[in-house]
Amino acid sequence: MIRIATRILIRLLALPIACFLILVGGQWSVVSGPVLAAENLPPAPAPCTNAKDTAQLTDNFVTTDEGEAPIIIPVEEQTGAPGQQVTVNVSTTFQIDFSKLQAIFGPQNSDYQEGKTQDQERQSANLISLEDQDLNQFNGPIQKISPVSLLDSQKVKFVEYVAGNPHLLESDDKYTDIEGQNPKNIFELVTEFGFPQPPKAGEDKTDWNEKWGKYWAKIPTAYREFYKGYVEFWAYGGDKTFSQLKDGVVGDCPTPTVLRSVEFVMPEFARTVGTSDQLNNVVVPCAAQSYRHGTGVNGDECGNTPKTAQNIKDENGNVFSKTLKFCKQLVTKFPKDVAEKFKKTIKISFNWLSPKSALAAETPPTGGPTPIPCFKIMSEGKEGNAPFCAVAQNQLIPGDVCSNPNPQDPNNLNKGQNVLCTLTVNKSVTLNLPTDLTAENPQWNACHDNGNGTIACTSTIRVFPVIRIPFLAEIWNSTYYSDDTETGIEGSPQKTGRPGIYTNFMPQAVSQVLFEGDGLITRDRYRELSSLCQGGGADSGDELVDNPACVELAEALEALEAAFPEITAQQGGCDYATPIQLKQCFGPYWGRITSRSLPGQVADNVQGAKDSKVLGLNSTDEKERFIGATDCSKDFTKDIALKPKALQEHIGITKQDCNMNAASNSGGTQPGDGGTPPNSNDCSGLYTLTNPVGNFGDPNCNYSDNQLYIKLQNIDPSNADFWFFTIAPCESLSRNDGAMDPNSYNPGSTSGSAWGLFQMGHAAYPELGIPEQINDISLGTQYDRGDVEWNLQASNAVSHNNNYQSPSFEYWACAQ
Amino acid sequence: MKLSEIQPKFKFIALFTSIGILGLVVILIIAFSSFKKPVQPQAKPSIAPNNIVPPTKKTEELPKNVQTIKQQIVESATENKGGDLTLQKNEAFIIRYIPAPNVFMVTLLQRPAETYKSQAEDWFKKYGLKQEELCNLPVRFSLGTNKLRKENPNFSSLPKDCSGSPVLLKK
Repeated sequence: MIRIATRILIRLLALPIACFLILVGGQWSVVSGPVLAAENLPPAPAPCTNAKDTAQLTDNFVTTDEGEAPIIIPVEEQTGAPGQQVTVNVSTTFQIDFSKLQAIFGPQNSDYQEGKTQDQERQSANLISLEDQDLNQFNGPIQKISPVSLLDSQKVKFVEYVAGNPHLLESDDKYTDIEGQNPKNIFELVTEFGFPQPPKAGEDKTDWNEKWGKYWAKIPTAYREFYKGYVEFWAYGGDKTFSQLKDGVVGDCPTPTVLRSVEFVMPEFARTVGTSDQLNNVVVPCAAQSYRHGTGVNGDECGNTPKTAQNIKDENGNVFSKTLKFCKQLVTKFPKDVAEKFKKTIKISFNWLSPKSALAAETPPTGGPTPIPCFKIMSEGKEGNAPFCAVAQNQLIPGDVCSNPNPQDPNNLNKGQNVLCTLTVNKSVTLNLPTDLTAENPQWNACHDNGNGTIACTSTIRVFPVIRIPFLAEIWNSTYYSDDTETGIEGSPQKTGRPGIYTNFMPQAVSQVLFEGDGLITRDRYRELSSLCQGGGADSGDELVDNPACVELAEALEALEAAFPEITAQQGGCDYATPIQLKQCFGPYWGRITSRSLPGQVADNVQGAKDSKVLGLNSTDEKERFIGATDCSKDFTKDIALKPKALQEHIGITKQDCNMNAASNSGGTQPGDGGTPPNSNDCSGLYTLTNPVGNFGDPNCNYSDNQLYIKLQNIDPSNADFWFFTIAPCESLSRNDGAMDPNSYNPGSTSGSAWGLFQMGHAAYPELGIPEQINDISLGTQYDRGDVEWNLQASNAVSHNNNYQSPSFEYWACAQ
Repeated sequence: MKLSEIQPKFKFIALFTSIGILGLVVILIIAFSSFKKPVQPQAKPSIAPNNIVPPTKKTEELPKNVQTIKQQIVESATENKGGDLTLQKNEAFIIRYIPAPNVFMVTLLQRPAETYKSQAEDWFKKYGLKQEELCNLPVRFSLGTNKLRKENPNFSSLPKDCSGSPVLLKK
């Protein structure tokens, strides 16, 4: 039975796994740094002290069940001159069990995919003596159904990387030959046999079989790389600030005072994500990254790092704008179970001087609404079972006390003593009394003027423990899917509770919006209705009213207008008299209309998408199943599951062989030619993205009016003032901080639509039904494009004006 | 063939050649001029153009006390976004200083625009500036939403009692 099931599984999954692995070799060199290891270094495993740091961290607030801060310090009336500094001391201790903290999310599931290659039992197994069933369990799906050449390539990269990086835990793993004899580590194998060069089909295998061939079945396909996380204590002043944290705020998140930061190492989060930095940069939108909070070790790099250039361009801008909100709403919407686990690891002493601090320990009211979890919770019971690194001595300060309650714990990788620690927080929070009582002063709850040149204010300091971990830890702990009771894949040895496809970390509120439309029209329904409406032959207002599809569309439009008043206000409403005009009215809201072509699904135009046989698989579940575990599959995730259809189409997805079945570039100019492609980043709420392609004008979040002026001075000094003071502010809209908006978009242009600071043409977006609109393309240039990064918008405008406009500036109505 | 016999034919050929050339020129002109036609939407006359009157004086040309106050205002910035310094931000307006073009930009966000324009002017005057000193500081206003632009088609970017005109196109 098992054999039959295995064969079926192999038939079903051979193609996708092959696809996943095709680029493994190439990808590995990209995602894991240089792997052309000419070096073969003796093992010196010290993963805890060689953990990698990544700028992309996610902040996980620990709160009470009601989403309140665990520590609340009332600040009684403070009197002083306007602007005077007031300091509030925060002094407490907190206890952390690092053996549990690092295991909260549980071990990775890569064991399932590639067999337990990291397990000593597997490494020393005698394959010759294994029974069929045991042999079947020896390998995971990857080894079972991958073409040998692809698997070989991945193993070669593993050997090269481990040989060149002796700090890795795997460097000292001993692999026996297939008879369970002659254990050797990677260093010894390479020393004795040289770097592996598996023979190709038809080549003589004699030498290979005598050397590497004996060990080859034991060689893993993925290595473990440790990453750093942080436990920090963040303080915020004022009820208004707290509201902003909970509910989101236009612009930047409130800036905390960081009271204490302790670095720890997360061993189990990276085995399947050796590419985490790369993938972080590509997959994780700025909006979902912790430095959107603007403080800590990362500063506010989001707008400055070129890495974000690769962020997802997301046709469903709502996904990540919601994620931004999610980021901010962690305070209240953090999943209860996970929060509980955090809380188990952090015990805070409420030894406040203020008697009112007891409020923080009040019993939560019962009978209230159940908090909506932001993402599904993985199975329980894993804390304490995963390898961990004791905290480094340099993270401790005077007053900290640590112990090691279980000195024999085999999970203690560095055998350190700093496992159960009582750490101290003793720092002041500084608040400035407001200088203008009429202005918003979120750090203060209430103020009044004493009339004698002084003012008096009250406030509340809230302190949150914040667990800052690499975002991928969350993604990849949730990226696999498994369920004992699931049907659809025969012979899959599943275990309920394995993390699921990445929708598992998606906030429920976002999921509702994405897949259920949140009461609003979905893209599927829109397409259906628009076809019926236009196909009904209606070409006047009266006929529109008579066509039920048109009526439903119109109602859907009204609902969108009501749901997104900020867009409606910006657009000033939309009139229509024909089906085409009605459809055009949806343009500004397109990014907010939900689509099912999101996580785990593929673009409509991807080969096989329409008959649900993408990559040879037969159902969405199966397609989702094999996201993860190998480098190549991560790229698959990145491109197919995470990138929007429009971007997939435009970038052709040709760089990742995993996506060889994906659609090739269907024509049209690629958005952002010569610049950064559009993404979904709204730059901390600076942009209300109403166009179909996302943030095309400022994908790196580095636009400012100042920079625009400098750019114009550089490229057209004699007209810089005219461009800056006359054309741009007239043609463009304003973003939320008052600066001009390089994502300005007018869907109602007489020539189609107008884009950017200078309201120019655009490339084709076939998937969205938007034809190319570039009036100089026939001359071999494409300066008439505003759907590009802001600096290119400026240079395009200047070039277009210099080359093709006579008289000058005739193109722009605002110049007349 | 006699010359007298060639001349009429030559005239005929010359005539048709001239017409042909002329036609070709006309076609080229039409084609050329049609390409140059702007395809962008025309600004509706009922909307404020939102263009800004640029500064005319450099900082060093301002009175010393104004220079001092200007410096004080700039130093009060609460945020620096790529060089744009945020000085004041509320629901009705945002005040920024843009160093490269040397201008204090006030973006109005709520109606009535003139009321909030006046409030923003007051914000500057709290630093001790006089109304007329706002002109060359320079403070400039823009309307931050299309709705406001439609409601205030004759809105001026200049503070009250200031004069000036937008940048003119250099012909």
